[in-house]
Amino acid sequence: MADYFEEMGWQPLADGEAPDSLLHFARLLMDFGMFDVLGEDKKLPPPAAKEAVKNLEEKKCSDADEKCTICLKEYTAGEIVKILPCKHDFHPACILPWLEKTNSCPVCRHELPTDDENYEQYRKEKIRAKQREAEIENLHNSMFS
Amino acid sequence: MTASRRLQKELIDIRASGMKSFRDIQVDESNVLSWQGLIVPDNPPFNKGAFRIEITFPAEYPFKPPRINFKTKIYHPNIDEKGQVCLPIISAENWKPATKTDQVIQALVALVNDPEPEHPLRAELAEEYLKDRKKFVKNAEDFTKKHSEKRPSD
Repeated sequence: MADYFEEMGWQPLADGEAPDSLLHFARLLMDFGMFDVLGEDKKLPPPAAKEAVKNLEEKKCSDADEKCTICLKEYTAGEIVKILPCKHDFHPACILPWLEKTNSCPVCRHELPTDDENYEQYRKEKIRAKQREAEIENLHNSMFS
Repeated sequence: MTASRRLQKELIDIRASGMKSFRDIQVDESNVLSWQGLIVPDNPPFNKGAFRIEITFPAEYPFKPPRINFKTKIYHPNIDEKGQVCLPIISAENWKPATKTDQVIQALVALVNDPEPEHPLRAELAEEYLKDRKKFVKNAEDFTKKHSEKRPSD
């Protein structure tokens, strides 16, 4: 069994460290499901991290390649396309403006990292919440089956 | 401009596909950002008529979603009196540039055919739909006969 702090993804206070009231308040809001009420889940996620965009994989198209799902034009041979980590590819001129707006793949919504600390924290919490749910489900199944 | 070039392409594809439930697509040559068309539902009570809609694409399309507006009045829990419709696939937080207009239209036709009373725009119609289906069907049918457009004959 993980310890309390680890399970919540929290750091225990160091010696002499004062609690961060703002952080506590945010956790309180989250525990009561207030993030959803505040519309945090309805906002478009922030732009993709500049570093991640810079390091996107590229490839040169051979003529058999398909089309760009943003502008719907077929790739021409020799054209350079950008490839996201989920393996979906696009014209640089099509994908870059989108990633300046938000961080997800236009086809499958695979999320790239962002430069927004608050959003990264929110995303971690979401993943952790899902994990916790799965663990509890697991526990229940092992108890009652 | 990406928007108009992509829309020209989508328009050609949609017209070529010959969708049965979305017909009579009219686009002004000078402005491809605004489409009109006729939704022709299959399910009762809406299969007694056809409904004209307008699809408006922003200049930033496909980076921003299109908007849909009903020009024909319809008795439907998910479409309000002003013709506004709440379609998740084109909401700002769900929109993806790879979503094509034919998918949007298919989602809209599915919503017209099968109302979603869990997310209503007109709560009173959603309640009627859930609690007294017979009455809803009767009212919607009467309303459709009175206000909707003629269905294409073929």
